[in-house]
Amino acid sequence: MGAVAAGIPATPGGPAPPSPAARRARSRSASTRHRAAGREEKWLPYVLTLPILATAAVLIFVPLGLGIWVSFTDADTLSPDALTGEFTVENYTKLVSDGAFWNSVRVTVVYSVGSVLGSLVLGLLTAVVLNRAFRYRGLVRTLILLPWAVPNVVAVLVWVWMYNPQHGVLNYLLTRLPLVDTAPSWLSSPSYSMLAVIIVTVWKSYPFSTLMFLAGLQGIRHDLYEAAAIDGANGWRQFRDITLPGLRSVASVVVVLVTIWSFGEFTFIFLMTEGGPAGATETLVLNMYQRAFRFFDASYAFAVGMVLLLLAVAITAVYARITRVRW
Amino acid sequence: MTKTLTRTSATATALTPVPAGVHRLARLCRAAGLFLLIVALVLIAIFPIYWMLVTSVQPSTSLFSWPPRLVPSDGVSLGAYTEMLTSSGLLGWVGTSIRVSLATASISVVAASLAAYALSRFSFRGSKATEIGMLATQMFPGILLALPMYLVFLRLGLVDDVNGLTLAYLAFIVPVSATLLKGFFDSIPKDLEEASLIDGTSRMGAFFRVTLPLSAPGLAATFLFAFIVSWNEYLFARILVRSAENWTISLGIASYIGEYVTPWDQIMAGAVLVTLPVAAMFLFLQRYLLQGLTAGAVKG
Amino acid sequence: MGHAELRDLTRVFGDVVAVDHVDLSMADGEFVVLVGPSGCGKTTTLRMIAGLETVSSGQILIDGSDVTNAPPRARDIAMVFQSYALYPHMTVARNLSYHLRLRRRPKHEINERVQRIAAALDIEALLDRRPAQLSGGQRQRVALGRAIIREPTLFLMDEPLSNLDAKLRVQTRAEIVALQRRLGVTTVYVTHDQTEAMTMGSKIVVMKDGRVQQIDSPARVYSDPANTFVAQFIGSPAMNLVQVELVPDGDPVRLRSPGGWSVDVPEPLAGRLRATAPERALVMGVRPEDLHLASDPDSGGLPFEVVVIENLGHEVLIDGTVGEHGPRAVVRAGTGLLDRLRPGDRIQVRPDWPRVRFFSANDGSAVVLDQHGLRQRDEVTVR
Ligand SMILES: Nc1ncnc2c1ncn2[C@@H]1O[C@H](COP(=O)(O)OP(=O)(O)OP(=O)(O)O)[C@@H](O)[C@H]1O
Ligand SMILES: [Mg+2]
Repeated sequence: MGAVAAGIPATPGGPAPPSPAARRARSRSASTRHRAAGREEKWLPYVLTLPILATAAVLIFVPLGLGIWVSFTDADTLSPDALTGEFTVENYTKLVSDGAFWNSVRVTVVYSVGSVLGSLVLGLLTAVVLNRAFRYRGLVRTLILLPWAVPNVVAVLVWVWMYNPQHGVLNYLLTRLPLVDTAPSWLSSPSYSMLAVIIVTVWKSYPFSTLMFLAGLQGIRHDLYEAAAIDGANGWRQFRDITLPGLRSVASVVVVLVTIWSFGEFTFIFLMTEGGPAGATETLVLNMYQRAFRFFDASYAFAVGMVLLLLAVAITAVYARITRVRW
Repeated sequence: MTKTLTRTSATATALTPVPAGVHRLARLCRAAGLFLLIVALVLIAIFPIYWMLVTSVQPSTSLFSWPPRLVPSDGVSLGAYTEMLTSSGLLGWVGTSIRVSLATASISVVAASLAAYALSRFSFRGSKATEIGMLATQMFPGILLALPMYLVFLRLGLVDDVNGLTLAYLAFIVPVSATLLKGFFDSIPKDLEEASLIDGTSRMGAFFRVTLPLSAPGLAATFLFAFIVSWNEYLFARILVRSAENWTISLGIASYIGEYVTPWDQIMAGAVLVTLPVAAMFLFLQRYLLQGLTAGAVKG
Repeated sequence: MGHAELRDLTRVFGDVVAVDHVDLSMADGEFVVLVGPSGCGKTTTLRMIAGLETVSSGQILIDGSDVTNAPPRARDIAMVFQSYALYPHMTVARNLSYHLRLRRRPKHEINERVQRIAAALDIEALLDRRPAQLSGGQRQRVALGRAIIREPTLFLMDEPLSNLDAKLRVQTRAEIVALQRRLGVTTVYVTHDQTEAMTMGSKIVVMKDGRVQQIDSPARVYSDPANTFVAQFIGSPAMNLVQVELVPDGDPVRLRSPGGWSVDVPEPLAGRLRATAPERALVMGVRPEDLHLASDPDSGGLPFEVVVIENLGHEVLIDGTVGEHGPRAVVRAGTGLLDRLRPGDRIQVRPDWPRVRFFSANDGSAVVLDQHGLRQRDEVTVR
């Protein structure tokens, strides 16, 4: 670059540079012209977020507010008339002694705990295996993550077909196993339907846990294992003393997210059992839906919805707490 | 990982002298165990998908044969596919779904990218609240939104209307899209925009000339994400759409469930057809999605 | 072409005062270096000049017009970022021409200027590449080219050399100086490296905790630091500082150390010191090259105990303490001493008295000796 000094004339050729006076005039007018632009940064972010905030206000907060309002009326059908119902707190007092409601609470908890546990265990196992080096690991990882890519409705269809009591491949495979001679009619049996629904939920959701745990495993520093190995820890001790503690925060995020999703789940249960048989899989979401559309008790449905909302807020608070610590 | 394993075994050897043969045997057992575990995990993941494919090409005569044909040993038939494509409503549902998903994805990307840029680059009054609010919309059950939205849409005449459905999807897809895009914008150095400001653009000029071109992969990922979510959605469609001519793909193929006679080969053929495109997008996206979904939660 | 002025410039982040009432004027064609330890507010000052950071209070004038609230594009400045900030999605040629294209210059003029700059910076072969395909040094050149192609009123550079390896840094340092001389564009250059500041600047601004400590030519900053901070920050190894007490009534005038030793001050310095107030706590500052080994123990030097001897090849640094357990000090000497000296030796070092500086022991600010005796120096900016 020694050439630079020689190579660039002080006053370059081409168009003559503007005179100093002209230049001053230009930059002065520019500065007054842009006096407001200095404040551009102040209003710009509000303008940019306005569309999304307006959308959220109209499409999320207004409906949520209406829902709260309707839960305090005596409206029965889900129609615009519901908004003009009489004020009453009867829906909430009714909840307390409603066996079906309490059944739904219980079913929701069982369904969520089952889904979370299944997806946690399967996800962790898969992640630990995938974190090892072996041939075709990339291919195996893609295959294992495939369920995530299947649309929910399709997953339901496939599993309903596999659960088919007469022609389903699942019962065929089960009876081929040693020691198993039951061939349950999965979806119509009060004792198996919950398991059937949980299996599908876990099958769809565990790849998410796997990916989260994989990321978590990759975040654990390698030298910790080497130090432990030098200290004489075997594989299992290393897993217990280093891997598990290292995954604690990821695990809590997974637990909270899967809990929230299973709380709000509609498609799997509705399409497989509609909450039946005899309420065996009727979660709060299903209970709310059935009350609104089958039993024409809209205001009561929304009261159930408020319970759901409170639970969701509680879980969200937990989630915010967990992730805030990490941020 | 392998390195650690070798290191472990080396240490073990050092501590307790074991004959080399025993050592090799142990390693072989471990390798075999791992292999079986991998096979089991892969089977769990893909058997249902495999079964969907096998059923869809089964001649309908062997559909209900017992024992079930685990491989299509009675020959392969594409009859179910032609049946599905010609004499079912599938193509119509696909058309509706494409319309809804395209509109949702396009509008989402535009609205979300503006908001995401503001949240990524400015700290302004309410920015933190907006960000938290966007995450919070993902947290409560969809039915809490869907039912009251049904009331509002009844009044507005948007029930059983493809545009109404699009609007409903926007309500919950735009916030996630913005969260995803904010992650992408955050990863683009601020310096570049500042260089552009100095080179003579305005803020928005820098956004359009520097930030947007650099986030093309992120925009594409967000678009596909929004597309897939609307393509797969069932609950809102179920509540907001009534007549069969407005059915989306989810409503259409779900309508076979509970039919008295169920043509499983055709249903599975339909399932394969609607899964293929989104599955391809999904696999392409998984890397980006995880980034956005975990939003820094996993770091460290 | 370009003169600029900062008036009482302040920037506050929450409860951190990043830049604290800075006054600075830059004459046309000057090469101003902002130097100081990490976090002292150099970058913030530069970014306020660029218009990338809002100003809490104070004014910025460029060519006489107030640009305090103007956006960057209205200031006619060019900037070289520490990270270079080359647009990754544009080729080198398009990076260079970005500003000209925004200004809608005619195509032939753009091409001609890109070619000329590329030739001058020896990056013609790289014009079609993307920044990702360049080495660090090449990127640095492109960043420089993107700034000079604009022919701006003011160049701003934020540690543009810190990502280069040591050898390239020294080379590029000289090239930037030559380029700046040639173009005559007023330049503000930020660095935390005092060697860069000394070798490049025509004016050095030393900052600490957001405040300006001294504004002077490199030579003056080195020979007459405004306070003990500047004395220690500029120069490597740093200026030796020793606490002393002035005993003016004796004859000869003496400096007494809390460590027990004392030293006589020769004329004419002694005469001036005598004229001052009685006892006074001072810090005496001597550069390592202004301390000479005294062969004769009674020659009126400071007692010095050798701790480490570092041979740098062309010279020797003798690291030791002044007096027993006294303050550390470094002496610069020729390599001829190597056989005669070893750690543990107790010797005498004689300061080059005319070059000795004194600072107040209270606040560290420089005190200047003149015919009236001791006086606070006031010709430098001290806040
Ligand atoms: N955007 C900001 N928000 C809050 N504090 C800031 C911000 N930018 C700078 N600071 C603070 O202002 C002070 C000065 O920072 P500045 O970047 O100007 O230092 P610097 O002299 O350039 O240091 P370095 O040599 O490390 O680059 C620091 O204490 C820094 O933490
Ligand atoms: Mg800096």
